[in-house]
Amino acid sequence: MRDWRLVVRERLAGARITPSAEPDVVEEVAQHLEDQQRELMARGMTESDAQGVLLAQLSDDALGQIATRWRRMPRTADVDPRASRVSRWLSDVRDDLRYGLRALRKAPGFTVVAIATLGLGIAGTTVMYSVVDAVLVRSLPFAEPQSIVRLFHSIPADLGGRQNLSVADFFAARSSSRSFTTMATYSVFDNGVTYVGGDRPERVYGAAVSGEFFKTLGVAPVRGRAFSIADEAPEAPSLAIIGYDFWRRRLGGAENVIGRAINLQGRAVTVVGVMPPGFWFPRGDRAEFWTNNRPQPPRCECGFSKRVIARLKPGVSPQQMQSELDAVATSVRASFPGGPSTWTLMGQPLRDSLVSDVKPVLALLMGAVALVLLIACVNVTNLVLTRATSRETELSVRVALGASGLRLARQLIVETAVLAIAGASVGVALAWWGLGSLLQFIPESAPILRDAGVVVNLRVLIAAAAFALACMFGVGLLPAWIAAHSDAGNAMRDGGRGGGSRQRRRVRDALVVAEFAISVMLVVGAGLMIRSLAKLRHVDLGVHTDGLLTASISLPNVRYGSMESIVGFADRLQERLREVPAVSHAAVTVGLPPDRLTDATNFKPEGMSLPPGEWEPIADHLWVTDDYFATMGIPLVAGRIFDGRDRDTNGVAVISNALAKQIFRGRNPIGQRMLVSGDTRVTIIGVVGDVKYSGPAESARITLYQSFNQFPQWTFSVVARVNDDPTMIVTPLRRIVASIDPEIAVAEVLTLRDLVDASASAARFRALVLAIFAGTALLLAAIGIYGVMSFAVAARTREIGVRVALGARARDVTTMLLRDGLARAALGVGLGLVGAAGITRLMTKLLFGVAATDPMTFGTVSIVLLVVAAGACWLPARRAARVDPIIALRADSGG
Amino acid sequence: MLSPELKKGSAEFLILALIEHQPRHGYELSKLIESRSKGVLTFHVASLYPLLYRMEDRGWIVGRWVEKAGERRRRFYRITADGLKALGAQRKSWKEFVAAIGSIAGARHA
Repeated sequence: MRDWRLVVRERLAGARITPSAEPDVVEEVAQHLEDQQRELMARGMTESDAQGVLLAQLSDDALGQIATRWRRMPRTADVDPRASRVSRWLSDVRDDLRYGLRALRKAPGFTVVAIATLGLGIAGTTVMYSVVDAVLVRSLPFAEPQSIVRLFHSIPADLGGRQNLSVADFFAARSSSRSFTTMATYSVFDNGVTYVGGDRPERVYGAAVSGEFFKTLGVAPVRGRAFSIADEAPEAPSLAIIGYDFWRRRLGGAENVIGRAINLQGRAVTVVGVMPPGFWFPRGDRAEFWTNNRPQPPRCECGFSKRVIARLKPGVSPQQMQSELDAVATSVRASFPGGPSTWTLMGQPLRDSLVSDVKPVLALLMGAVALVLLIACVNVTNLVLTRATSRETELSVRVALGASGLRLARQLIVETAVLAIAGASVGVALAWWGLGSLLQFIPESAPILRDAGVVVNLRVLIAAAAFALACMFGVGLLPAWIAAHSDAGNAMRDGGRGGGSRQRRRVRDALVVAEFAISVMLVVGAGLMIRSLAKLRHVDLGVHTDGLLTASISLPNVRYGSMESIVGFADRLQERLREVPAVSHAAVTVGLPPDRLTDATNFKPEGMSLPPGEWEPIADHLWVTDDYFATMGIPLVAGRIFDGRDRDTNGVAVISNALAKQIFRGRNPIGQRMLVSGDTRVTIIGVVGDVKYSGPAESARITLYQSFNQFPQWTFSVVARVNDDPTMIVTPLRRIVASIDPEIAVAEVLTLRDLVDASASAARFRALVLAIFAGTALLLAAIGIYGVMSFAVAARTREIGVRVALGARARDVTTMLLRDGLARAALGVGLGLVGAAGITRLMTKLLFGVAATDPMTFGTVSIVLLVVAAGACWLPARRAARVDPIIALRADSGG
Repeated sequence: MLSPELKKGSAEFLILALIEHQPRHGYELSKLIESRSKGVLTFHVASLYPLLYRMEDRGWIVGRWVEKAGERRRRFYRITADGLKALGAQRKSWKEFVAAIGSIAGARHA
């Protein structure tokens, strides 16, 4: 028996009672409480429950009223009413906490499920917030990153929407700039260059940058110096600044690295600086070196390959920047007439240009994870409500004894706070583990996700705490409100064995319906993503995808200075490859499906005139050897493909079917002549089938093929068709290349299927994450309906007993209960389908080959969810059928 | 359900009536009120004792610590002469009130 005297005395400490009268008051009130506790325990309550009920009575106002009578006493020095009010509140909360923990420990099943559910929900939101934090919130690792802008041309959407700058644009912008302090260009070596320094040649990746590149970003090397404008001069030596990782791994972290010469692409370049660890611009996973770009003075307004960044002067408004860029564009057009006149030169904050691809996906995923958290909260709310019902006697006695709704609500909120904190801890731990696994799947198309370093940092932890807080209030308020308004008298008469008021049951049913509706929306979303992914991976690219091996070769221009030397290498390579028994065809190409295109070109058929101001059409552009079409399995539609005749004659080209149809419209293209890239005359000799070179999701664009033997390039891909598994010729390929020239590196050895998979990496990432969320939601919804059904069965024990006593068979009972459960689930599914139809419309841009309201997906999801609901309802329904009618009926009259 | 105003007004009347013939302590009073009204009226610690102390101040009841054989000491309240007078007056006005309501609204008691 608790010593109530201590409690009452403590609570009355600040009430300024006459010291002589205090013992009597304390004694009287304490006796009353003791008697009450004895009575409650006699009625069946445990000691701790009874004490909890009584403690609830001793609220501030109650004791204030008791003590009013003694307010004549002047305030003594050591009694500060404010402090004791706070300390009273604190001890109230401490009691609530102790009481709550005890209550939770007594119901381990409920506690574990609630914590696990909240943990799952919070884990998901924490992971997503880490990503959002890394990409959108954390600032880029540059000095004052908000002042850095990326310049580009805004062009018509059907041509791509944006275009990089030309050398002429860059020089003009830099020389006239009043809005910018510094400006720089960079070009990324997409295929990397060969580094010869270790025991074998390797491919390394980096960029060519202009003099003020590092100054614009505001990042200085940790060793040596950055480039300057002087390094741009045509007569300046070849220099390189290397990445920290590169310095440590490939140069052994040598102290004397500055001034050392290294071999890049056959040329000796002098190292002048080392960048700090973690510096990743412009391409994070491939930031091993930066060389000095020495641009030639421009001859035309063409060759839009320069990516330009600039640092804004402080205080420059967007309008000022734009008007200056307009003036630059005008002056360029005046100096170099013949360029495109409808394009607009613009600037955009660097961060926006880096994340614009990723924002819609992030929005989608944050929306999905919010839904999962919502379901988790709904589930736990249901659990709490269910449990509150079984504690109804206790709660209503407390209400009858004077516990205010507020006090009850506080108690329940403290309990849910404990659950929320435990759930948050579990969630954060899960998120930590999950992030590691998830990062492996980050798509190549969103390098910023990988570069930015997604971690669980302080901001993320604070976000997790905020989610937990939201859960706590979301879950605790509804049951607390209901408890505070419950009908105390009825509850006591019921004796706590009822299923709770009808109102409460209806609320629980509504929650289950809501869970199912939300789950449907998530599962439909995931289903659509998965179908898109499947379609992407099996899209017809226009080539035979299986049995093809590809590899990338980069010849150093220093040692292969003539066209003949390059063609000679390529010839020998193809010859030796064909000698390998498993190889049926081999060829060399610059450009590969599905998305490894390196060039596009403008062209003009002879005799065709363009309307003034219009720009020439642009086609995908590849240089291929004779056997390319056979190797890739591209069908010949008309005319012929390249062969031995074309070595000596000039200017032949093969075009794609789409080009023939679009440009020549019914006329026979064979024999027609065209002007390519403004200065090369070609004759069309053949038409081949369409191939996708710009990604599997895009339709095939118009393509122009020229002969590699007439226009050889230093960097190209070799392709080989293999009768069997293509990977079995990897080693022979490397041996062949080494035997022809031991200093050439063979890089990116991948089958065509690998390339297709890589191009779908973004879709795969989305599908994976959404599937995880949808699966979690489904699991939670199943648990939810199982819980509600179990409780409903328990509540209807008497009714079932009566039915069985009147002759109902087990099967009838099961069917009746299943029907009820499925009715709720079906309602939820129906609402969810309507909601999904609305929401998926927002996803259309991310879908491929499947409509946002794809009937097959919607239908399958409905069936799956109904089956899950049926499964979750079946167990409690079966239990109900086994109820012994005598026990069921007796349970009621006991009271 | 009984409104708080009605409850407050009748609380003192009830307590005076219950100790008219014999002294009782606080807990006993709260149990009696609850059981005789079949749960319609309830008093808890926070509302009972201030009421008792108020009535004690007014001189209608007086509380004394009594030690009975074999039990711990308890504070019993008994009615005073002033309290008896107040009880009579409250009984009269309550009967008039009930009759008036009944004749207007037609409520009958069992």
